[in-house]
Amino acid sequence: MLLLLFTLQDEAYAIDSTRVVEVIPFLLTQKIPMTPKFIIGMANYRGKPIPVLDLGLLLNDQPCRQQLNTRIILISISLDNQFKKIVGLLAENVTDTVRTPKGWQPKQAGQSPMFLDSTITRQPMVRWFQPEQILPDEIPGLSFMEQ
Amino acid sequence: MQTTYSDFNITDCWNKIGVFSKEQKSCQRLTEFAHCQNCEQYINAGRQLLNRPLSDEYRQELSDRLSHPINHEPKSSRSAFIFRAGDEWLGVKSSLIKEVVDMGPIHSIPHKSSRIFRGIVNIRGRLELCVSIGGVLRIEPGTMRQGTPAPERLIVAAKSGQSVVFPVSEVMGPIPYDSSALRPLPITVSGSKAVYTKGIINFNNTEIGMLDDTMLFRILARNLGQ
Repeated sequence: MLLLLFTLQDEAYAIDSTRVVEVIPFLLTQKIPMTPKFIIGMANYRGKPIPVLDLGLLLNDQPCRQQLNTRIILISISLDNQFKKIVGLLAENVTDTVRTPKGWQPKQAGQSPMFLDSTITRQPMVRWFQPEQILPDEIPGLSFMEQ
Repeated sequence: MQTTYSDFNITDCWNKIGVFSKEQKSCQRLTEFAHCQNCEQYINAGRQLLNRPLSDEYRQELSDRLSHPINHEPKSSRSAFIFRAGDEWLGVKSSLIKEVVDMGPIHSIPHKSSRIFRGIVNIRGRLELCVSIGGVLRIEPGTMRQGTPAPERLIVAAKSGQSVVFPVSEVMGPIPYDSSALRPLPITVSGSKAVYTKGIINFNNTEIGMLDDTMLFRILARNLGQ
């Protein structure tokens, strides 16, 4: 399994790369009214509007710094269990991937977020990022948008 | 202002003791990593460069550049091998072409040689049958064009195991083209050219007749008595 690594406030996270559609630069966004603070707005990526969530604001109440390695991770999630939608997640240090040994699976522990075995990532304390566990079930202001 | 390594607290050990050093490459880690690019020191230094702030101008530029949908230009999916026979520029599917060699002697075979079958040629020790494309298409031996005369060549082509050699006046080489660029022949063209040509493509304002390889190899097989 190939994991994409990123950080939020210097805490390391890993996401399964098969969940990732694309990694794009930190594009300018337009604020959507009446939405929570962590939805920093809509980005125009290749003519398509994509809602962007600042993971730093969502998880730590600290916005991601505006630097070259802060990037938007595009993932496909199903909102309200109805339709799949591309959502951008803003995170820092989106520069590295790591390949796990064959057959490796993250343990489905009840704890959230769970930590990965440091032998896999060669870094201590890497958190496993499971979008459905961490993102709110319903993101107000986004569900009305069309596919 | 030029950015230097010192702005980022980077030790460029790869320039001093690593593979980019002009003197002794004395770094101990090289025995393990073989090249600095496999070493964490080198990787971390590169990552540090990305810790720089993203300027508003650059962010605006990125946003502008990525705001337009990707235009899928029609891709040139096919390849035609272009050569000249007489005054005519012709093309065949590039996959048929095995090699192009310098012109050599064509040994005619008594009672067998004809307008189409010219004889046998020696291609690297192999004896190959030599046929005239001009003979098939009834192209007259052309008047030479202006400029320096290009060398005549022998083209070795093969289709389903059957291989033939044909002499040409000049070789342009393979060009990419799209199937939509293939235009039908003018209706005024008739006779052999109409039968063996499947269309015309335009390349650098030159009209190139694309030969129908199935028809061509069929007539060749018939003339060679195979």
